[in-house]
Amino acid sequence: MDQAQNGIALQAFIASMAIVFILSIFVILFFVKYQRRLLAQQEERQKAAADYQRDLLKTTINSQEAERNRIAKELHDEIGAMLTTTKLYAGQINPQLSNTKLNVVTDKMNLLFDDMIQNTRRISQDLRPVILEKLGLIEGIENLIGTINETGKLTVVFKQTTIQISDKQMELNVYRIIQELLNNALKHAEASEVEISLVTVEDINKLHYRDNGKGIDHIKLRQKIGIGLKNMESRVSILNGTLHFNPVNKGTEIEIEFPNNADSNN
Amino acid sequence: MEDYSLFWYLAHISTFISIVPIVVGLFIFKRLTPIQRVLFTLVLLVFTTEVTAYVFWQKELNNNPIYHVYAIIEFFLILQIFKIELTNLLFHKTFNIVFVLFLMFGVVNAVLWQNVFIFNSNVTTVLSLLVIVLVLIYYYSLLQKAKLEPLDKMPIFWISSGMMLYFSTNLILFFISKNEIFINKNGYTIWSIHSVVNILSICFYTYALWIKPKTE
Repeated sequence: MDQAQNGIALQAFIASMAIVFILSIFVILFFVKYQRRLLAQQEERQKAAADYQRDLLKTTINSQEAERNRIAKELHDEIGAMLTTTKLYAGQINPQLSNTKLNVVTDKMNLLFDDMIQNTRRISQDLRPVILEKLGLIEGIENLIGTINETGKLTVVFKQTTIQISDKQMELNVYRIIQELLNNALKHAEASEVEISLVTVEDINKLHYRDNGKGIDHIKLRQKIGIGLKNMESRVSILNGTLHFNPVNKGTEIEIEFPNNADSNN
Repeated sequence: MEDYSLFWYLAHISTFISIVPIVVGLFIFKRLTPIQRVLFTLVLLVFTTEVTAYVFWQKELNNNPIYHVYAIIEFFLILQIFKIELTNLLFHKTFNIVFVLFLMFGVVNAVLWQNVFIFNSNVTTVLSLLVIVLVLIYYYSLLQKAKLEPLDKMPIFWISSGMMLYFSTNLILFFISKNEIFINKNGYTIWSIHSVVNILSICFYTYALWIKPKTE
């Protein structure tokens, strides 16, 4: 090999070393950059999950407080007021009172007691539906829907197959979700027809809701504004399920799926 | 003459630079993790080998026998580092088998092809290839990890990167080191590049020893 050939070989050799060196640097930098991006994504996901959980907790506490306020108000304004009136009537009863007046007072007191019993039952029913405990979820939902249908403001159709919800707490959460959906249809959606179906497919329970109302504002949905929506999300989260809003031209369509196992109640 | 003096400086820096990670390692020896301790042993081996080879060179003695032994111990220590890191990906047995095969190849090479007074380019080439494979397996394992940790706090990442730079760049050099272009001035130029990459990899090892990992 002469000197000129040696020079070319040397140049080629140095160039190949330089290329390999640059490639190695490139590989290292690629890994650093790629891993940093993955790390950032992981942190972002963790932050979003923590924010979501915090949000749900806040909603749960807020709704509990709202419920307590409502019960306190009902106890004070209705039961309390009736008890005060009953006490006044009771104060009128004395040995000098004529039989006619005594009958009037006792009749009024009986009416007040009946109202009080009815109101107490209603408050208790709101807190934990008795029908749910006695007859189960399907009867409870049918009873709720029956009450709404009786008002004539909304026609609700409920379809169900043999569902496999065995846990009482799970039943209550499903009942509350349906109650919230119907509440929304009555108060905000201005809907006249609602369809609800509840089916179980291979250990997965599927709750499908559809109404012909004005639908939910997309901005509102994205920002998850509204205590009702957050409440529903919170309950779906407890059920270890998913909540999905299907895009429809008119009204609202919601699909909720949750597994039928004990872990879902943790 | 100019080129020779540059080579002289680079060769000397490359020979003695491994004292830096040794000093760093000695200062923080107590908090070194198992991987860092093996790395510390490795740089200690590098320094001892380089200094011994330098003394031999100064006394105009053939220092190639040192490199025959060095390559075997070096590969053993590198395997120990990756054995700790890749324990979930590769069986311990695999590392042992690879080492035994490499040891046998080193001995056979010294007996049949490159005796102890010739530079063991065959062994160093195979060593480079094996280390590159180990580093690539480590990089692959990084992508498989479910829990991510910052790379700049992981000594193994800096060790692997230092090895990747050193062995991939010098792979061709080791492979054709017997070629005639290595004689005279050309040889100095090429070995200067080796010195630069060696200095760079020692810097990576120093940082790998210096950092305090979150978890190991």
